[in-house]
Amino acid sequence: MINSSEEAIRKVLAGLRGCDVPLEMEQRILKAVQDQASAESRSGWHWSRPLWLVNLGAPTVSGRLFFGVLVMGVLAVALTIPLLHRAHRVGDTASQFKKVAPRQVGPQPLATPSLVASSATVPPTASDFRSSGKKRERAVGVARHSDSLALCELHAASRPAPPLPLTREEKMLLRLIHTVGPQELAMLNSEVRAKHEAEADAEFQQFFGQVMAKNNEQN
Amino acid sequence: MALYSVEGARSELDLTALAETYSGLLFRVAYSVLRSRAEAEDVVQDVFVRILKGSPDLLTVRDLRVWLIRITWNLSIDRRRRIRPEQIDEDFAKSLVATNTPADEALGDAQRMKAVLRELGKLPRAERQVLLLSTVEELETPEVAKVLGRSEAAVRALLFRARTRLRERLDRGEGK
Repeated sequence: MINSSEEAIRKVLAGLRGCDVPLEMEQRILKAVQDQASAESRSGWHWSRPLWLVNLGAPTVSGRLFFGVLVMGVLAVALTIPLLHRAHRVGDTASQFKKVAPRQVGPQPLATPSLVASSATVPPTASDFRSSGKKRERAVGVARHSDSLALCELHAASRPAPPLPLTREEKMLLRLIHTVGPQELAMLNSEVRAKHEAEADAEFQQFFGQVMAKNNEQN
Repeated sequence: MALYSVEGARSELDLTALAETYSGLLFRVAYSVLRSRAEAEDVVQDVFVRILKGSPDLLTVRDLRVWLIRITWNLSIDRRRRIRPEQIDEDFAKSLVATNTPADEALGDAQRMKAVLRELGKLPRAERQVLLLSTVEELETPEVAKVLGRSEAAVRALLFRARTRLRERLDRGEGK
């Protein structure tokens, strides 16, 4: 019999101290750890999927039927949504073309630098798209925005082509200009050249004509 | 037993060796809190599962033994909150009573043991921790100090105070 509190304390502490480790505890622990590791290494989604999804895989007739119907429904929805979306987009694009069309009527002026600059800074159809309805733009999202951008780029004024490199003849002409004098350059002009040749012929005829007339008179 | 090691980054950690080395110690630590063999084994198992999950961090632990004891201690405290400790303590108190004592004496002894366990639970946290950890055979005062993050002198003082306070409270209770 325990007579004092000290003895009771000692006995309780001895009871806690004298506890033996259960037999084969290590093996059980290692087995549990191994099971945990193998469960982790298996496909992770099996452990995280919800219970209703696990039950769907149960091999019962009603479960399979329900699962089949569910899969078909999901497929139908997945196929229908893109078609509806595409149809909606086509309708919107047509209406945008109608709004933009009056700007395209009549001959477009040639792209002058000022026109090009103005068209580059402010796209001509941007305000049209903005005014065509902010609600719709918000609803259709990024895809619609990219469409409008493409349309803007389509209707933007053409920019002038970059300068081409000089041809061989142009390069020769440039070299000629920089090496010969103004008289030779003037001879390049056919009218000037013809006039010059006519003058030279007239002088020749005038000189040799007089000499030949004198010779004829002497004879 | 086949050498079991965790794949990948955890392969450096040999769980078999860890279990062989520390499972007994961790079991006694858990048992000092829970006083149930089954619950204590569950806690040790839980500790090793946690090691498996967080073993890359474990490789950076400086004092593995102290770290494991702390984990076990915390898990045991957590589990004790979830179970019904009164029933477990009653069973434990009955198991401490000698089998050859008469029934009336055995009943009285069991009541005293239960009172000790009850007052033990009411001790200040630090004193209770020191007293329970001191019951683990493998733990000397320096190691208890490490586990609790206190000095050895503080641990000794806490242990002395715990026993004194427990005795006083029990005497007061018996006197009433």
